Amino acid sequence: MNNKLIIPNILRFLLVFILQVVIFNYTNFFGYINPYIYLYFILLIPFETPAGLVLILSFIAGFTQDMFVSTGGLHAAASTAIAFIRPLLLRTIVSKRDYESGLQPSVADLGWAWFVTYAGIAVFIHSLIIFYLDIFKFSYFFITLKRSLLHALATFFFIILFEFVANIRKK
Amino acid sequence: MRNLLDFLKSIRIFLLFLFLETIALLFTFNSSAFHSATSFQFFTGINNRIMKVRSDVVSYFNLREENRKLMEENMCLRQRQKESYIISDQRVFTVNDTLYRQEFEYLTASVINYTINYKDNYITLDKGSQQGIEEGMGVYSPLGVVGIVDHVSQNYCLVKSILHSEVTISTTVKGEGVTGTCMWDGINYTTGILKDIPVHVKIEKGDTLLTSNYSSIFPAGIPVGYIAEISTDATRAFYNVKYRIAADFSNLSSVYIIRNLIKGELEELEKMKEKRNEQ
Repeated sequence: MNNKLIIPNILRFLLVFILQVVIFNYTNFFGYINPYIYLYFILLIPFETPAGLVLILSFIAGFTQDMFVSTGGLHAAASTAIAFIRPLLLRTIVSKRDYESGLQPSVADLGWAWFVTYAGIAVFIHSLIIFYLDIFKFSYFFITLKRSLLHALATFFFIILFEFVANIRKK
Repeated sequence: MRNLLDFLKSIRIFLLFLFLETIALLFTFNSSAFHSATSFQFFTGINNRIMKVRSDVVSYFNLREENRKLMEENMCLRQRQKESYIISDQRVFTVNDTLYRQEFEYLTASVINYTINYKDNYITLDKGSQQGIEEGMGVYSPLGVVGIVDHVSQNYCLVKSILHSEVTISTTVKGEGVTGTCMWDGINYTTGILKDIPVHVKIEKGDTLLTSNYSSIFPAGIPVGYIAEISTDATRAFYNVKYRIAADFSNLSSVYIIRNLIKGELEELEKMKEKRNEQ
């Protein structure tokens, strides 16, 4: 991987976690919804990063969040799962451009329609894993579904917002 | 052998995935392993420092609300003071009281971090072992019971909030003599479940739930919640009561920690009993 990609990604990791820890872990929309925007970092890891490294990076990201909200390994488990299915997502969602080296799975490189689908699916799966793993009881099936859906929506909204801001800056 | 190595190599990503998931799940379902991990101490150290600054800033925005709560509490306390009672009987003696002694001591603490949207929720406070905090102490806010101290570091402590699957509070219904157990329903931060109240007791919507005097953690009479919904359980012997949690978990900033001055003595005594049993 070239240096041009490493530094922005490290910066993105730091920025996302500063926002997550200082602001988003405390924004309780409608009482209990707080977006897990650290997922933005995992989503934007460049294509050419080795799959093993993606797994480890996602684990670290998830575990960092766990440490800050003391939830054991909940976020680490969900993030690692997302990193594992990420290649599958990237392959199945068709884009107009071919994947070349140096590309990132972002709007700037692959367009809005592609990114919205990709982020939407990933965020939803992530929320489902977190809340079903946390509750771990099927008697709460629909409440948990509703809860993960609301969280997924909030997270999705902010990730799209970030991409939007990032693109304005580039133009 | 070569084939095996090739095979392992081809699934190495999957193996790494399994390995990381195992660690994550181990920490998820074994919270004591998580809390004793050395990295946890390190991260909470950083987190607490960030949170301290954050809560210092944020607390300014809540000052008005905090003042209102404090004034209300001051009012309650003043009402209980001796000066606010008129002596109706002039033949009252003042007795040097040797019957009563202080059992509970109160310390104030600020909330620097808390969650409400998991199954097991925790609160971080800015008081620790250096300020005399120990595991098992009760925590309450001016509005009601908040939790029980779970882990203590030098300057901070981690509190199991009543929004935690393992926390139960022994409760009485105000005005009735019965004792029940309060726990969280695991769904909404404003509602909890009260169990073990037999159906022959008359309870009504809106009744206040207070901590009972069977607990060595909380003094009797701290509000836990207010009854919201009453139904009977499958056996029809006990009520199934939903209650509104008294403490306001959407806005938690300053709390009291309760130290039971007699608890240590009590535990020592109970230990003697165990020793006797061993012999």
